[in-house]
Amino acid sequence: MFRPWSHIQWFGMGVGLLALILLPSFVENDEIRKWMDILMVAILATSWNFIGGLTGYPSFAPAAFFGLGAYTTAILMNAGFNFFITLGIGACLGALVALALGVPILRLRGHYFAIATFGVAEFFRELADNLRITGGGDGINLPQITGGPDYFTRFFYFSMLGVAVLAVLTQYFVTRHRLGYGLVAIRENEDAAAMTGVDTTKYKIIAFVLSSIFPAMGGGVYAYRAAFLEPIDVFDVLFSIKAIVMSMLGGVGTVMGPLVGALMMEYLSDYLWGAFTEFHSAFLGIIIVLVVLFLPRGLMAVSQEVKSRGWGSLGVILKSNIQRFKV
Amino acid sequence: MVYGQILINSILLGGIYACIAVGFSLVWGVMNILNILHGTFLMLGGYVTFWMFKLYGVDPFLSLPLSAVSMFCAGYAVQRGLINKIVRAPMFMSLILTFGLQLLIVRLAIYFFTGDFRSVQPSYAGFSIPFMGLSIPFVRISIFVLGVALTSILFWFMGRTRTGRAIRATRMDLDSAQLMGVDIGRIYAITYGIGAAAAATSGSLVSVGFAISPVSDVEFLSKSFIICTIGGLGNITGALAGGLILGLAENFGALYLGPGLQNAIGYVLLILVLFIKPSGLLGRKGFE
Repeated sequence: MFRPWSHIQWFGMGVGLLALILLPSFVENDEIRKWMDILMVAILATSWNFIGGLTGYPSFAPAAFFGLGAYTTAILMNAGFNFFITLGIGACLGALVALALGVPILRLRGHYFAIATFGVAEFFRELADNLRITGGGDGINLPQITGGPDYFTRFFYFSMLGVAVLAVLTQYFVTRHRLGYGLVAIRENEDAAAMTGVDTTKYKIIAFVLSSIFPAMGGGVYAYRAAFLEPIDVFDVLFSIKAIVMSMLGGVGTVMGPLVGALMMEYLSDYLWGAFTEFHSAFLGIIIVLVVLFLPRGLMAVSQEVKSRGWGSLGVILKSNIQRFKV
Repeated sequence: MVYGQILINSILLGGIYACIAVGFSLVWGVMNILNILHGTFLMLGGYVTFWMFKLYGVDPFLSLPLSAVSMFCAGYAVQRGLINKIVRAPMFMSLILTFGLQLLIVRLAIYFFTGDFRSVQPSYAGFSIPFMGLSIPFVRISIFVLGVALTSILFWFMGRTRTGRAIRATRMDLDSAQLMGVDIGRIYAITYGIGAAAAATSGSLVSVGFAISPVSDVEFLSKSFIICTIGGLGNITGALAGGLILGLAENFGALYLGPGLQNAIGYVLLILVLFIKPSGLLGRKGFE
């Protein structure tokens, strides 16, 4: 099912990574910022893929861990910690929280799991709104980064890239490992997986913990870059939704899917309606509807079918997609 | 005396909460759809009442039928045209689909109605009824009575009418119901329409006693999540019980922990109930 990448695929990924590393040498700061946003949602989508894509548990927790990491960095940096150390602590904290929450929450299935994770994110938001240490609803300031815009744009870009690479590599090795097969077995049929000897509870918790680490780190980078946090900004359910929709757009349960989805969605949306920023969420809504109706298994699946049947059959493929699940 | 007043307020609030959650519970129970559009229909229903009052001076309680009928049609169309296409897909597809529609509709609502909070202020808004030394706001008690009455009508409809029986049969077993001659596509659309109409009426009621804005839909949606999870799915008594429990917990929690954490209490309750009894306090097991 998950074959190791061939030399050509590794080469392709290497070229892609090299391009991302060299990108800041060739483009304007604005463009770098755009790519930083793409990397951020790619981190979220890739992380969601552990629990949502591979394991089949529709989690709405990415926003919770993203916000947790962001606030950890904010609070610790105000206490004088080094930025990178706060990222590490944020990741550990995210993992611990996921571990503690995973034990009760992962017993739930389907909508109940979705609601519980949504409840966790909202609960964190309410907490951040009311605690003194987080600055409450007024928000919290972070120390400003020193250096000119050229420097700090690149600094944040490479921090985000580092987290993204970490997330993607982890995903690759998990999917090519016993763990990944176990998770997919749980997705396909949890009871059967347990019968064949998969320790489902342990596997699910590992997946949930993995899905919490990278959003927490990404949240830390986001916080330092934003220099000011508000609960409503970072514990925004839209982060979770974007992670889910991008994974779906690309193809759930694959390493490449979330990356393709994140790239397509952020880059295209920027070019297609960059002028109508006010209506960004409305366009996002339209895209979501179209993806669910016409691409329920993602672009990757469609591209494979197109490859085997030719471009002429694209209409037929899309039509069969929309008729697959109707009553 | 303070406790008595809080108790009255909690019960009145709980009744409205139950009314808010009933439609959500119905849609979830029958079709296994986590209907993110629920809060949106509620908000739109509230705006129907608000604009009827503002533009034509129609009493808010008289515009209830209009609000219900218009949202029934909207809900019917959404289910027929979109959600029915993916009913058999993994359940969380419908969740994402309704979320996409919610983003779109809320954005348009902000554009047309502005993000301001609005409230219907009829001439009798300030009245309250003295009762054994406590004061009961007239509007809130009317909302409570109407909410309970409408919920009872829904209860009767589901139990006694042919369509109600078809809906329940579909919930029990989709394929068997289809074999018995139930037009599933139509029944699903009607169910969703009823859910939307229930949301819209509670929205109309909310627009009188409270305030609405295009973005307040998420608040009501998360209340519905909590109430249905606490009470248990698919039965109307569950929604009533969940609404009352949430009303009590919020008001007494605000008394002891301060009003800031009022909303957080609901989420704690939600996670606790899921931990202890995932099927809800009154839900039957295996009904997910």
